[in-house]
Amino acid sequence: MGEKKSAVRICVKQVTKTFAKKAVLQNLSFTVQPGEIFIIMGPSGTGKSVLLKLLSGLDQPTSGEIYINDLPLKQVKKSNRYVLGLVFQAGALFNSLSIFDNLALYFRERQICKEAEIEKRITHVLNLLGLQGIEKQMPSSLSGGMKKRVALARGLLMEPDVLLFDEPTSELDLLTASSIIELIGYVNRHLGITTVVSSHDILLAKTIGHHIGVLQNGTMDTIYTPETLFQSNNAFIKNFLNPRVNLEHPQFPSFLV
Amino acid sequence: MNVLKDWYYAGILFVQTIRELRFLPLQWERCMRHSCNMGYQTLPIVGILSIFMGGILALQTGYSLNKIPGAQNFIGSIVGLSMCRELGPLMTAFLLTGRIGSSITAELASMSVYQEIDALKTMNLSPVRLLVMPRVVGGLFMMPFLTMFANVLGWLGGWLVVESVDVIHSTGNMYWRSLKKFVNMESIHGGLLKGELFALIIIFVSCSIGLQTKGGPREIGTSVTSTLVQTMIAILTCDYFVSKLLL
Repeated sequence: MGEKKSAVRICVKQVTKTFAKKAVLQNLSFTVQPGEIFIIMGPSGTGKSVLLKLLSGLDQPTSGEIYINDLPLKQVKKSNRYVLGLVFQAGALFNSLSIFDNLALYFRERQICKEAEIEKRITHVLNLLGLQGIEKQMPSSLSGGMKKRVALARGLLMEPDVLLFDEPTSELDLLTASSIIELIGYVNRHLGITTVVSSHDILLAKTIGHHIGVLQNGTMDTIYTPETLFQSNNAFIKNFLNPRVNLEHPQFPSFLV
Repeated sequence: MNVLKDWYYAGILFVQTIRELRFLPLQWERCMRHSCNMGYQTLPIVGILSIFMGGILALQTGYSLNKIPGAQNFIGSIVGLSMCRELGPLMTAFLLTGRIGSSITAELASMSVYQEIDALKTMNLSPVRLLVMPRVVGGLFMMPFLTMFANVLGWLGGWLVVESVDVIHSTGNMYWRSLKKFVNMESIHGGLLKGELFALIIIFVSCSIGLQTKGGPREIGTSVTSTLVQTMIAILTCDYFVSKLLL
């Protein structure tokens, strides 16, 4: 832990994903460069989480292919050499295990190292993320922000080639959200892990994103940098970044009128 | 359609579990924990139910055979055979479904809904190895003990009724003699075999339904109900065909 691994490149080529004949993602193509933070943005329901599931191999695309360093994801996953850390929106910690056992599960089940070494590694990561002293607690006793930090700790302990974050700042207050953003940036700077974040948090995109793709109608037309994103003339993106609240002439869905 | 899907997935789980059995030494602690859990949770209720089941059986047969001279001497054989061939394994399986099957489904469904299963998959850890296989081994290990326990307590229940109820004009000695004469090892083994099959049905169906649950708390409840209904129907169907084979 703490040593830089050689970062991987993720290449998404012509990926389509359909559910009940409805295409959520359509011919989606983009590349995540080694060691960068790529932000997938877009309003709710545009397929950000679906894309993250495809990137993590939890689901398969209907057509198209995802490549990790030019090798298809399916092939790479089978080889067991590719380690992926997915930090779920709600943490997805194992509720029946203590925080320590949550973090130790990967090592124990894969018999990677002995108990003393596991303890050393866990203590190191918990200290790094400012979580010392919570080892014996159960996940249900933690706040939302703490759960996300522990989930990140679990991801980091696996020494992943890729870190994926599903809405890391959702359901958090601004202060906690900014500390999570700082943490993602810190981890990326120090460990150089290729990171993909799905979020609609503009602050997150602006502060730590190297490249940003905005999902619209199941595809990403342009890949932006934080600077170009905010200068974009695309009406959809402008509206997404600067939503207006019009109390004088509110636009209700038809069923309310 | 959903039932077929559940059973298809239960079949897949069965094959995957056999493959994962090579990791049994690593999962031994989990297997023992599940065994203890199943035994500890089910033993008292199996005991109570079996005593009453044997007692009721003795009472009803004793009352019905009252008018036939000497027929009450066969109460022991009727209770003995009914318990070890049918009621012991069947009632234990029903209780195991209620206590263990439902809790397995609820636990796995909740893990599925709250993405804990996905978390395992992203860590390249097999949910079948960690969650299904230890339960299957635990269930297979515990079921014969529970079934035998149910048989013995059922027989004891019958004996208590024969000894204490006025309408039955037979003795405890006669009850045990008749039971020993008709209950052989073949009958006991048949019951234990049924118990093992029922345990497999309970664990695989409850795991299959639990792991496939999607949605929220409402779907967890629906999955538990579905487990109870499907398992009980499957157990009775299996019981009929196995009984026919063993006759």
